Amino acid sequence: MARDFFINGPTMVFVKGRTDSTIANLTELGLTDVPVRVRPQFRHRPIKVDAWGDAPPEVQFMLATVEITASLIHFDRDVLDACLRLSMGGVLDTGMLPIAGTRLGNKKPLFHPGSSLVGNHFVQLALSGPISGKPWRFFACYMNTIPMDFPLGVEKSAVVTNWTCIPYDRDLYNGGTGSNALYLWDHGTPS
Amino acid sequence: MARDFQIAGPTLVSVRGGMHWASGYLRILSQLGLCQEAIKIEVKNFHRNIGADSTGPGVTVDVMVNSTECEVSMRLIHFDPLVLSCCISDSMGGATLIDPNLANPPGFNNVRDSDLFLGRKPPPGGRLLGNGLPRFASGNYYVGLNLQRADDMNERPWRFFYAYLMQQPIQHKIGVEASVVELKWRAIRYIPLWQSPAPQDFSEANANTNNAPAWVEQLKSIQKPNDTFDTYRMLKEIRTDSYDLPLWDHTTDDDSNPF
Repeated sequence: MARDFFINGPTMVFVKGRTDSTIANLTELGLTDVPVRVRPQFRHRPIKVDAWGDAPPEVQFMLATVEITASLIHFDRDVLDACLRLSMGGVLDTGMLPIAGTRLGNKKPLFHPGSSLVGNHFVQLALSGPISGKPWRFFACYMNTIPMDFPLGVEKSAVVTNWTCIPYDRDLYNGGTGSNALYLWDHGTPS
Repeated sequence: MARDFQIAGPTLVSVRGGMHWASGYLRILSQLGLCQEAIKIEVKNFHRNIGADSTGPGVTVDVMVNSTECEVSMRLIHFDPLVLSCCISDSMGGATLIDPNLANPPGFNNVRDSDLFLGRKPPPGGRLLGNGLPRFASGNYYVGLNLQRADDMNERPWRFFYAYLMQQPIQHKIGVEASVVELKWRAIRYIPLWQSPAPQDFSEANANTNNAPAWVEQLKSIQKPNDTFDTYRMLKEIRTDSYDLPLWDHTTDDDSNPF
């Protein structure tokens, strides 16, 4: 690939959730008023050796997560509510709470249907790349700590949504290979 | 082997118990779980100082080594509660499990996967864990503790032949967060004492046979200053190969029937 300006193009935010949710198929969430920000968060752990003073002679990669921020300006409110319900533990109604400590994955494959304690409530988040031809697909996401910043007034609301993508897997040992070859994201076309 | 950082990689704790368990459930190598932090292995040597009056009080002239044992500490975060329950029972000397949901306890047919700490009847005091039986025999309650890892990692697996949950074996915190169970295992070099029929042949000629006792008498003569001899009877330890297992090795138990 030659050096050039990188232009992603008009970026649509897509979501897909549990097969028994209202976003069982790939669904448009909306368009943003400012660029979508994708920030991988690498976890590196330095190895300290006394002979090397305070500088690490070696570093270990302890996996990563991704933070995605999308400020939605032209969006489907119902789809946003569906994402909120799933991120809150797969509850039945918007604003409802599940039992404290409810898991999002429940050791089920992605999109597995079921109630709070049974289904897999992770949301697959996808970003189109119409000009660049390099879309993004984040496999296991949820709306994180401050899931949205929702201004209400006479002006159109630009809702800032915050997402976290984690390396979810059902088998944590995988024959001793752990997370080896597990995808956190890829650039495949969402479906 | 060159000097390098030693990185063990993802480590799975597996256990295997005696043939007194029903099919499955520790009768074969069973996954206990994954840990929240690194597993700690402490090797303890037992040394005893030897002094002599001629060198003055408190001076060590030699050291006697009296065998070795290991303590293995772990904090399980992703584990099988039923396998853990079996380990607890074995460490209690084979406590009888009681499940109020069963018509005829003990048994595992109707036990839910989420059951932990099934009710137990502890055995009477003074019960042995080994009972003079070989490894994995029915009634030998020592657990084979395995720390498994992928073949391509630098560190080899660990296998402790005779382990049990010691003293305050577990600390289990229960709440809305994922439970972490702190376990402390003790691995010893179990040496079964034969229950051979009386009278026992304590001669060394009978050593290393199937009926050999663990100890034989040995005569030892010590010359005194007046050129006479005092004869003392001493006990000399005899082991046979089939019971002379190490404290640990770097392989993994399998599911094969040992008998």
